[in-house]
Amino acid sequence: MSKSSKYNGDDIWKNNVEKINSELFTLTYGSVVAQLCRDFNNNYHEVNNQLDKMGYNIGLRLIEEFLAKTGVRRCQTFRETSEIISKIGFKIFLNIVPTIENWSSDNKTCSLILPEPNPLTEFVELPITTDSKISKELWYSQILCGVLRGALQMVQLDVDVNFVKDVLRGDDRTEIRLKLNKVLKDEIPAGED
Amino acid sequence: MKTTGSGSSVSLNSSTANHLGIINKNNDSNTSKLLFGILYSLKSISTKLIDEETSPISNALKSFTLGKYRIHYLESLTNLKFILITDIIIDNLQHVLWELYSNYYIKNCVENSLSPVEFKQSTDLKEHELMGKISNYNFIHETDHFLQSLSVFE
Amino acid sequence: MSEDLLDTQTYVNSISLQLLLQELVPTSIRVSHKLLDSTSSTTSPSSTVLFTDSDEATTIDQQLSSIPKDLPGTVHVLDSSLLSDDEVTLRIENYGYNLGLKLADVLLYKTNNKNGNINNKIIDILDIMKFVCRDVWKCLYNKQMDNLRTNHRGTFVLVDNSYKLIANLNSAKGAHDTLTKSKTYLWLPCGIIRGTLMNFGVESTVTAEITQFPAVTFNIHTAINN
Repeated sequence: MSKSSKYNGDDIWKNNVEKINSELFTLTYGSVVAQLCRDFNNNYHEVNNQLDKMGYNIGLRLIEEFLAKTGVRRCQTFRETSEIISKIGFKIFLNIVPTIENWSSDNKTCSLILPEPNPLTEFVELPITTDSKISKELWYSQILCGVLRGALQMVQLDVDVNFVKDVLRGDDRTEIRLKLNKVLKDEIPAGED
Repeated sequence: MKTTGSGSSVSLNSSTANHLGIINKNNDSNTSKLLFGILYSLKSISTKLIDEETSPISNALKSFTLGKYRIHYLESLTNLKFILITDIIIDNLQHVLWELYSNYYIKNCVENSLSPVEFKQSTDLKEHELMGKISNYNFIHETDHFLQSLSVFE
Repeated sequence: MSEDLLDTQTYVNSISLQLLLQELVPTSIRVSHKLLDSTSSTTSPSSTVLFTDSDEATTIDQQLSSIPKDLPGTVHVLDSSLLSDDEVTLRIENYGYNLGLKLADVLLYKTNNKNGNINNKIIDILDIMKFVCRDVWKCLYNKQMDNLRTNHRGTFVLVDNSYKLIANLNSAKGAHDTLTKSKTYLWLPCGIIRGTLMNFGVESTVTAEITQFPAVTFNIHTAINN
């Protein structure tokens, strides 16, 4: 039995989470992305980067909300971490449970497959026909990568997080790749000795 | 409140302080730095005593005692360190420390976008910034009020 | 869209939205800063000269903008002189405006679908204001506006006794600093109200003031005599 089964994302979602309409969330995020595209004159790399920064800052705060609400203990393996991210993290914040697959042989790299539709992209269509650049450059849900990277950094996990596929771009599915670089040590900061 | 460290912080409360609202009077002394060092060492020892990989129970440091005082300790997975110093008769304050984290820190720092949540020091910061104090009024006032409302507080 | 889809309300955690909304202010400052930087560099005719052509992953020790000390998890970005600049506040107001414009559509669609009859309630400007106070506010903040007043000459005053987005704001630099920074956050709901009204074809100007923190008064001026 995996350790994550000790915590039940469904129960927390049902009984211990204040909820709002997912459309409101979709619209809010949509208006952020749309305005960033206008602001940066459709330089989608800038848009991706700005969304990533937003997400990173959110992740630094969201992890504390997550730990305080769930009481989750430290994971022993990255496999366990990925289960917690999907079944509890995504569940209690976005009410979706991505599937985890594509493990590398060293158990340090895996993929999160987001279900469709999801609360960031529902009803969203990129203007692919009028702007051919957009489907090659924009990662519409890039904020999620920032959130995950920021949140994991706070629990001492240095992880690369990036999109490799997105249904909005015409791909067959929406896939986030996670790669554990290293587990950071808690050290006495310089000047504190 | 004092916080220090890389992605980590020390919240120093002394429920033995007599002054209402002036709880962290030791913050500007070296005591908190020393305390940080002791806790760091004890933590290292605790992890060396057991094999964390196989042990089902965590060997986390929860408190230690001196002749007169007990130091209560809780560390979040994000390395925030919550510390209370009490008289030795106070046995266990883990639930109080958890409350400081899961309620007061969340409300007054995490959900307060005017408060930082990362206290890592940067070389070009001045001394008081380097210590990364949580110094917003609501956090100090509310934790203060909470601690004084406890039955262990006299 | 199938009938079933219309009936099924889906939800997310309100914290997710709150964290997203919180980030709009620092993001607007960073974007404004970057755009002003790029236009002030007169050496190049191209305004995109400072823009990147690659994706960069944010890390803990990397500046988020060229604003001093703007590191992840810190709040130094809010000390930028741009905090109350039109460039920033208009941007924040615009996020709200676009959101209000679309949100009104979704909410109307849902209520009409539920009641099975079109535009059964909203007849005049007062109905629209009630729609803002009840439906829009409830959707956004899980509570209604606490008070609605009008002078019957097109001016409306809406009061929220504890406006959620600023209720927990508390600066280490004291009450005055908290107030100054909170004001920037209020451009978002101002925009949301203006956008909602525009959805009904009503042009307006909306401003907010903090009466007694965290109570917020929204002043709405329209050209409609009611």
